[in-house]
Amino acid sequence: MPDIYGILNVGRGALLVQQQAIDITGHNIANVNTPGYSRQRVDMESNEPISLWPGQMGTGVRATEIQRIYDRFLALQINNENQQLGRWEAQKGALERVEMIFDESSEYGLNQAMSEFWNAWQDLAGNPSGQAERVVLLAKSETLTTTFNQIYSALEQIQKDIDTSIEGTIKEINLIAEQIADLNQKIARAEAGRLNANDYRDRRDLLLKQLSSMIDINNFEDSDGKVTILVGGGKPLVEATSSWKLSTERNASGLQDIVWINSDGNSGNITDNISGGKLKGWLETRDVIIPEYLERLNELAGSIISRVNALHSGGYGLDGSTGNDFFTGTSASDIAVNSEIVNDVKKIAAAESAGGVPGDNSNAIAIANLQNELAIHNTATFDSYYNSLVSDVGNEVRKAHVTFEHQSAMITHLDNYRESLSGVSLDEEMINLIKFQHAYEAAAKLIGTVDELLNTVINMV
Amino acid sequence: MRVTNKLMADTVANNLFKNTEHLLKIQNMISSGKRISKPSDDPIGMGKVLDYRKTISSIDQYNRNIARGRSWLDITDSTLGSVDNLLMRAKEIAVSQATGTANKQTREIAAKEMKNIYEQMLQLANTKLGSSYIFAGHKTDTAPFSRDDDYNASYNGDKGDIRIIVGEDTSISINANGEDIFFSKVSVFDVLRDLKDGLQNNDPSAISNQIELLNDALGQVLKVRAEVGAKLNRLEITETYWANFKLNITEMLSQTEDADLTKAITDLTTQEAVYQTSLAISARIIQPSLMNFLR
Repeated sequence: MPDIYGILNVGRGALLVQQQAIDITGHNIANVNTPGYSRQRVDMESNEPISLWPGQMGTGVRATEIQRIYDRFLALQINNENQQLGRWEAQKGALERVEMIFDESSEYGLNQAMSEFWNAWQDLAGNPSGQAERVVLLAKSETLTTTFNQIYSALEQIQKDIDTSIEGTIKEINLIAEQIADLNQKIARAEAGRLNANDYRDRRDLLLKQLSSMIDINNFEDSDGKVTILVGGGKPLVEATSSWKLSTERNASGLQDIVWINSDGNSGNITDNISGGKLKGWLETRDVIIPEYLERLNELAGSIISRVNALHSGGYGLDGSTGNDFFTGTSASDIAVNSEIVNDVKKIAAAESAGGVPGDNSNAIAIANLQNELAIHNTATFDSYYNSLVSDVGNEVRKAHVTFEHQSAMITHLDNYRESLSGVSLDEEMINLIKFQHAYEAAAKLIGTVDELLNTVINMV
Repeated sequence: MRVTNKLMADTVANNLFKNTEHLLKIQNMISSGKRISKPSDDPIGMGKVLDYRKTISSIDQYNRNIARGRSWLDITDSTLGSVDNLLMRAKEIAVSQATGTANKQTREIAAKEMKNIYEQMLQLANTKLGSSYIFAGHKTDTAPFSRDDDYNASYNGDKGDIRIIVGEDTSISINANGEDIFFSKVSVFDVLRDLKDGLQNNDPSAISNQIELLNDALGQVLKVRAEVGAKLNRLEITETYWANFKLNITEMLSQTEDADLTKAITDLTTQEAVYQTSLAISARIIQPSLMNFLR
């Protein structure tokens, strides 16, 4: 019925809706710098019209829903790429530390230590009966063995440090899982009443993004609005309102494995199934890359030990002794100079025959010439084997760098796109503010006019 | 495309970071003087650098070895020179005392001189370099030559070869063997002893017999001396070779490892200009907003 109260209603509806719009605008402005926030807007729709003569009469405006401007597909894409970004960032960081161990730029690395070791044998050959040359040779040998030991244990230390990072990240993952389960509940409850839980969803999306940088995730939403997250190749981390935990377990090498704990409290090893995120980057460095370097170092040290010992034990020292090993140990971690030689440098066997003592230097020469032999797999000298190891380390770091930069650029591009879509533009909000304010003023004016109309009608009688 | 404030701010920040990262890299290069400060800067270059360093270290060692060899050969050479002088003197005596102008008295005096020559020869044969006897083969801690009361000399050393490394798998022997010098074709000491005895016994035929033998002895010593000379020559050639080689390798090392300062400084200036421009532009972009213009 087209009556004055109808107009009043229209005015009232308009006021409320514009006020709501200004409210939402205020919310957007307040959250312009909130990470992960998606701008919201009120969807306005005209009310159901009434069929009346001379035509259908509109009945004003109503707010249908508060919408979050958000692209679900884009979010999935970002999370996917984020897993790779997290992985390469972690791998790059860990490898940069490895590279520092092989720092040959200071001229005090293994390359230098090996050169000086072989040179000391040549000096001994120049004066096989000399005490000073023997003492120097001992000192250079100990520098060599210590350098090997140090490089080896520094690499092992990085593995242990990675374990600490892994443990910290697992704790974070568990915390986030709990928070997501909690948000699942809140969102489901709110949306059961058919109200969009926009802010909760924003928060949950942000948590998902954080999670994706730590571990590979597979997530999907059910019809209630709850998100299920699977990690490590399919183990559930969050399902509806429950969350599971990840934990760590020490394995046979003394390093941490990652396990998933099911509802009965039993743990399943998921270390090999993790395919993305920081965890993958760390695990790859700790379990594949570093062990390869350790093995190559051991190969180098072991080769030096066996070749030098073979010649040395066949030679004769100044005191006529023979059959002495020069080095003890079998690998880079335990290589050391034989303590008998440490205690008595006269046992260093420079001579090839017992009768050749003290002038015979041929054993010293033979040992010095080991430097030029293709001693490793008959294809590489000690020096070239080590040099190619250093080169490989450099290459590995470079690769991680380049891949990380590439991923970074891709994520930046996706993030920018998301920001363009869902981000708050203060200029736009200002314009909206003016828009809604004018509408509010006009609606108020309408009500004022209706009031005057009423007055006129009442005073008519 | 919808551009929000955050988008502009983030882009500005990213670009500034890229600029400063580049600036830092150039600064590091200039202050350290090195283009390669860690393996990942240039993995292949790093491998080459390590190779060159090892080569230079080896060359320095070869030079040290050569110096050692030189001192050994030098002293051998000068000792052999003195041996040669002594033998010439002995020959002079033999020649003059074998003639008719000599008599029992002159021969007696000459015999005394021969005794001295013998002792001096013995001393020369037992020359030492540092703590090592140079003519003893491997038995460098014992005097290689000794005599008994009847002036019979014997060699106590062995045939050992003392070598030095002068290149990759290349070594040169630097010692002259005492036996080769004093005991090979002719026994130098026996000749000296027989000459002394001949003089003491006033036996001209015994004396003149020794002249031929002394010639042989001189030839024997000369042969060894020539070998020593050849070895010294070879060492010198090797040393020159290594000096040139090292020059080349050092040049290549520098080219691979060192930063091209001129280029780096030019880059730095350019980068600084880029950075400042981007700062200025960023300021112009992110400052104005609609609110400045609304009343």
